[in-house]
Amino acid sequence: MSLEIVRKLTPEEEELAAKREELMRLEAELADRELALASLKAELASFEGLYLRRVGVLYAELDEWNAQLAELRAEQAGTREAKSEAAEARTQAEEAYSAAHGEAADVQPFTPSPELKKLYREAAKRVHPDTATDEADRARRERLMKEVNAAYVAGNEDALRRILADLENSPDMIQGSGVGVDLVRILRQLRQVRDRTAAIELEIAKISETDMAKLKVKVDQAEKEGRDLIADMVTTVNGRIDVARQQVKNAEGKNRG
Amino acid sequence: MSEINTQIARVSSNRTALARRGTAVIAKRGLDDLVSQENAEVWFQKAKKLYDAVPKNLPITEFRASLGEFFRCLQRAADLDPQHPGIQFWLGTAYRDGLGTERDIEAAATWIRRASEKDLVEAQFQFAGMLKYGEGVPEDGSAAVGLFRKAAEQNHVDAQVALGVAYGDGSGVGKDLVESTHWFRQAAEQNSIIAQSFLAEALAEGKGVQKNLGEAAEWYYKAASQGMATAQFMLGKLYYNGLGIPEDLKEAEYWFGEAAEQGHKEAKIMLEVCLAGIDRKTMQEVARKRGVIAQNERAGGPGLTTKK
Repeated sequence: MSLEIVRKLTPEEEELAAKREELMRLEAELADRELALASLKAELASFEGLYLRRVGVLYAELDEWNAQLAELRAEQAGTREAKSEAAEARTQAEEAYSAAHGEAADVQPFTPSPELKKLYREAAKRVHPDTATDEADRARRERLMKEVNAAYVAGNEDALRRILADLENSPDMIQGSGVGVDLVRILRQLRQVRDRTAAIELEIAKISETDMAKLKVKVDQAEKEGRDLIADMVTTVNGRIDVARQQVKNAEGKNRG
Repeated sequence: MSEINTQIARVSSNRTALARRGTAVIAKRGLDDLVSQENAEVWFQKAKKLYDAVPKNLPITEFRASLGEFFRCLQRAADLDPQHPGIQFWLGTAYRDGLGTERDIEAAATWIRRASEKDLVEAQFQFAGMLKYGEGVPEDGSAAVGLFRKAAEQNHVDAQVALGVAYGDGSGVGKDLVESTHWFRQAAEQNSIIAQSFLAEALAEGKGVQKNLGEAAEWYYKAASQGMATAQFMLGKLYYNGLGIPEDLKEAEYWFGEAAEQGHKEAKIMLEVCLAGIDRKTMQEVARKRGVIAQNERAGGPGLTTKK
């Protein structure tokens, strides 16, 4: 038995050990929440892509017909009111078009593997910007965290492994400059980790309140019940397009006649 | 150079902002649509419950009058989700039959047509009928047949019978006995009594199908045992004459009796014949003798009736 083990720890050392343990636990928890947030964002982006590709393009088409109809009516009535309605309808059509045919519509389905999730959790724990010791370190960690998030969304396991390997060799992962200093640092880190966890919860709640997220919840729920809500929406909007197209035809006839 | 870059950046960020706004608007519209569809479903279910709650044995005017609330719920549902095929069909039916509202055959045709365009099979069958008889829409026999076929292909049994009839008498489509019998068989296999009887007749007479009295007897039996008087009489005849099945006076008597009980006139006569024990041979003998007598009469010889 070595002497080391029987040596009594000072109260500071005991406190430090306890706080270290707490920090590790909270960091693991934080990494989980970080993963939940990154997954939520990625899943939502891929749902948004799917929704825009299948339903958004139809809304854009419907808005185009509605804009044409408003313009034909403005032409016929000539009133200021009709003209401003037409301009409004045109703006809406342009917005819908750029949404349905923009970058967001290109996002493909997100299906993270368990390995990817594990790597992300590990990387998030190591990189965490909020556990930085100074401003330069914080900036570096923030940049790294962005890389970690991007690699996760892209499903790039190799990039995550590379980031992890780099961190292993980085000198400032090494700690230890006296019990007192360590304790102060750990207490600060604890507070930062708690703040960040709370901020993540808030962000998740805010994202869940968006219309796109609510829409996703409904679509997912219906899918569990064996219904394809997206297909239903396609039918609904297609029905409206038929009506709008007919109205444009009629209005064209009236303007000519 | 940097100015151009700034401009490009501005244009691209404008475009992104436009797309972001558009995405938010599109998401909101989708969500609003879903919510109002969910609400429509609630009103629709409520309407159906109200309909179910009204006793079906009420006098017809009273029945219609007690469906006011039902109709109002249905209208709410249609306002919230005008594309819902089920709601469209029920609303059309309410207008057609005057359920909780004034009858309005044009409105009925409009709503039932919408539902039929959404591939609601029952609506296709009903709208085909409206086209065939010109109810609320101009009469159009060939469009009717087209819709009967759509529904028939989706296994709608009454549509299969209607299509068989249309091919059988060439209404709205070229007369085609093979097609007619084909559709009667489809419906017969789904246990449509009328189709079983039509199919049996086609088999007995070799109309649009190879003549097969044995199979005809089987289909007549299926319809007869479900209480169809014509089929009972025909089955009786097959037993009496031993056509496709062994001759059996007792069986013939039974089926003639069943049909006679339902007021079938020829069956009543044949029942008397069977009860008198006159079987096919005896009957033929009588007929033969009658023939001989008639011949004799024509030749001026002794006949059944005394000459003046």
